[in-house]
Amino acid sequence: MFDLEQAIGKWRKSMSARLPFQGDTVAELESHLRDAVQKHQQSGLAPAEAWTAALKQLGDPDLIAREFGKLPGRSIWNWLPAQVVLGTYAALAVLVAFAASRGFANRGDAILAIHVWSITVGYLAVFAVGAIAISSILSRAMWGWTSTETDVFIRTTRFVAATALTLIVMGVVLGGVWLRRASGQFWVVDLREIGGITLAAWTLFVVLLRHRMRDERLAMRLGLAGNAIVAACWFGPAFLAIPAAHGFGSVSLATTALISGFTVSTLFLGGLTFLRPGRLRFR
Amino acid sequence: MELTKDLMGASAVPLILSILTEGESYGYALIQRVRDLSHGEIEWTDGMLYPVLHRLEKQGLIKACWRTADNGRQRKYYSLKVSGRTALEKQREQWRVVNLTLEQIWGT
Repeated sequence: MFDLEQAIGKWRKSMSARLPFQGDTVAELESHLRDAVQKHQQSGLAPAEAWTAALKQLGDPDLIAREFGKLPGRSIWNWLPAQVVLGTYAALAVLVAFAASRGFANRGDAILAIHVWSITVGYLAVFAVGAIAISSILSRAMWGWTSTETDVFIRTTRFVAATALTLIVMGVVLGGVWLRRASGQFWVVDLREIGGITLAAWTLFVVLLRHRMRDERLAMRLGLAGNAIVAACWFGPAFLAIPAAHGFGSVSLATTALISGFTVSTLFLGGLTFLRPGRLRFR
Repeated sequence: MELTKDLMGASAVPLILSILTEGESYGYALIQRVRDLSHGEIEWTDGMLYPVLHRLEKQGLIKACWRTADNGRQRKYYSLKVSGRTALEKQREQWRVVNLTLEQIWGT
């Protein structure tokens, strides 16, 4: 007895092997096959014959896979979330450059000015990775997701993470150079320095994940984690440096609210990545 | 009639874009529409339509969206974007010129 579901299952497995990381494409072809089988059955074919006819009409799977292999990736600059986030980011980078040059370079301390700029803009780039992850998580949950989007999202994430890595490493090294001039030491163990190294390690991790980052959900969660890490590295030392007497109580109501709001929204967004695409679609 | 591979490749884009001006559609329905419009003269190998659709999506000419169809199954629907309309206008003009030239030679 012919079992259509079994036949489709077998076909899906072999097609997935030909089109790795393109679950969405395989699902689309499967949907096509189901339509074709239904049509053939309506015109009087037995299920097994309808299946054979639909497969034949779909064409040689190797040829189809080869055609998909030829497709170029979508350009990062042709993707709205990247345009918005990177546009804002570039504007902020210019603003920070202006502020840093006013603040430090005019005092003749170019190295310090560049250090401050590259650290600030590097940390901002980690937030940019997070912003792209957040917009993608929301868009995936509300409007669905395709493999084209997975591809452009992961490439954008890696591109921005690589930018962050370069800037942070440059910032840490320049900070050391400046410190050595000022105090003779290249490195002091300090919360801020540790923060810089931690962030450099996180961005390096994202950049190196290349071959395993084909699933958009992992990259989305990494983006959210990056937001938390950069917030802790940036604001954590200042927060911890507040003397205990002034800590809880007077200062912290607003801070506590901010941290709780951030934690709750991050957990909520993280939760959304477990839903299937389009689950929260507005009807 | 079997079109040559080159002509198939060249005509697929204007056909898809033109059909999408009638409203959003999905792969299987697009193929049926081409078959109907050409009275069965243009037969695509079904699977070859999808790489073309994905290329048009990557180029930002059409957009794709998964939705539940009336029969309860998930389907990927495509719709035309503004840039797709502009691209279609250009294609239309080019096909008109080619068509006109050939007709003059062939005297039809």
